[in-house]
Amino acid sequence: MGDAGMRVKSLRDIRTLRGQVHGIGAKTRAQAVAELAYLEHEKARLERESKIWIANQTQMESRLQSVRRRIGQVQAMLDETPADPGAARNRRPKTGGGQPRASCCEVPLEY
Amino acid sequence: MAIASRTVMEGSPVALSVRPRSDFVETPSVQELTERALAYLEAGFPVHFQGPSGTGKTTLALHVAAQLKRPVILIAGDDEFSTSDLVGGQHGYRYRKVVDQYIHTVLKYEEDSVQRWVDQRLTTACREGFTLVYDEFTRSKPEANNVLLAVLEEKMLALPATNQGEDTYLRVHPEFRAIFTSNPQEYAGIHDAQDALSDRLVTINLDYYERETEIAITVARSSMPAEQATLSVDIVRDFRASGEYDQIPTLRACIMIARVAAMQGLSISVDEPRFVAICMDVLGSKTAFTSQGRERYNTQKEMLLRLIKHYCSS
Repeated sequence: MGDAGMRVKSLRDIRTLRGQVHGIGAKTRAQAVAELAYLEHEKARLERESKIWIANQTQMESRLQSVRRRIGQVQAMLDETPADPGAARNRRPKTGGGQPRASCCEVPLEY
Repeated sequence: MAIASRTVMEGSPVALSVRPRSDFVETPSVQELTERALAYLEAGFPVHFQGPSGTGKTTLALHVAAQLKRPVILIAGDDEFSTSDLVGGQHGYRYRKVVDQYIHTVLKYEEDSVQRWVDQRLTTACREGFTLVYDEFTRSKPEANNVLLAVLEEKMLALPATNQGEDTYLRVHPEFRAIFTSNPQEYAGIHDAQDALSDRLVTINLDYYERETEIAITVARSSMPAEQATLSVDIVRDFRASGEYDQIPTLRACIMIARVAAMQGLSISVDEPRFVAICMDVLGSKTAFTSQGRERYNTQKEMLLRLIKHYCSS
């Protein structure tokens, strides 16, 4: 059915003996009717596949939008509460000597 | 390699930068107490100011702390305190995500979430060498204060053990100092301090200031002329000496009477009914008023009126 140099992807693309003998064009009315039937069938199949593809694409875009929206929400939540590296115990500095760190945030108190 | 790290918790407690207010009065007796306390602190001993309410324990503690020129961590004792409220604990979590695409055809994700340790005030003070002011420490249960024993003697803070291979002992910073206050006469919501802790403290007993200091503080805090402030101080001091009250009238009563009278522009006289009413409101509330004690209440009221008449007759 396809061109001679067409890349074979499935059995549908392989030429049959009959096709090789009679060439591409239908010679008789019976052959034309058969080819028409085949083409109608192939058209219906491709339309079905196209519909499935479009449905899949719509579903994926919808899911992608939902994931993007959630990423934005989580990122904003994390940005609102920035990490404070000084308080983390696993970054606790060794103490017992040396110069103390200056306190970065001292609250004034009058007595 | 991209590293995203977020922490969903507040950080360590902040320290205080204490300084005297503009009307702070430093009389010779305050200076003497401050120098004594500083001598103990400089020698490495914690100081404990003990005295009834209204004797200026907290103010003196903050004043001494200010002289050390170090940030101050203030803790107010509370019956609900536990060791973790002083030391710290596991709060919230640390979330870490690593996306490694060093080899472009290989995408490697690593995600982990671990509990996060948050220092409480005592740990911060020990780590950074701040001055700890533990106000009314006997309001906390003795077992909550047990952690202080090793801090004050062995200069070592024992932290709860974790399975993350972290240090469980913190060496106390050499500049860490501790000042405690307590009121042994208070009976509402206090505990006895354990001997082991009391033994580690140098306790300075505070009493009410002498007349001159109370006048100076009243003048400073009320903006009332000294002659008039003296009268209100004398009334309160005489009432205090009488012992006819259920709650000791303190320097705060002097300041209340003087400040309100000064703000209202009242003359300090028994002929000024509003001044007399202020005195009765402030000092009369120091006596329990019950149906059984009505006669006693009336007697005390008459005594107060006689005191006002004695000092404020024109």
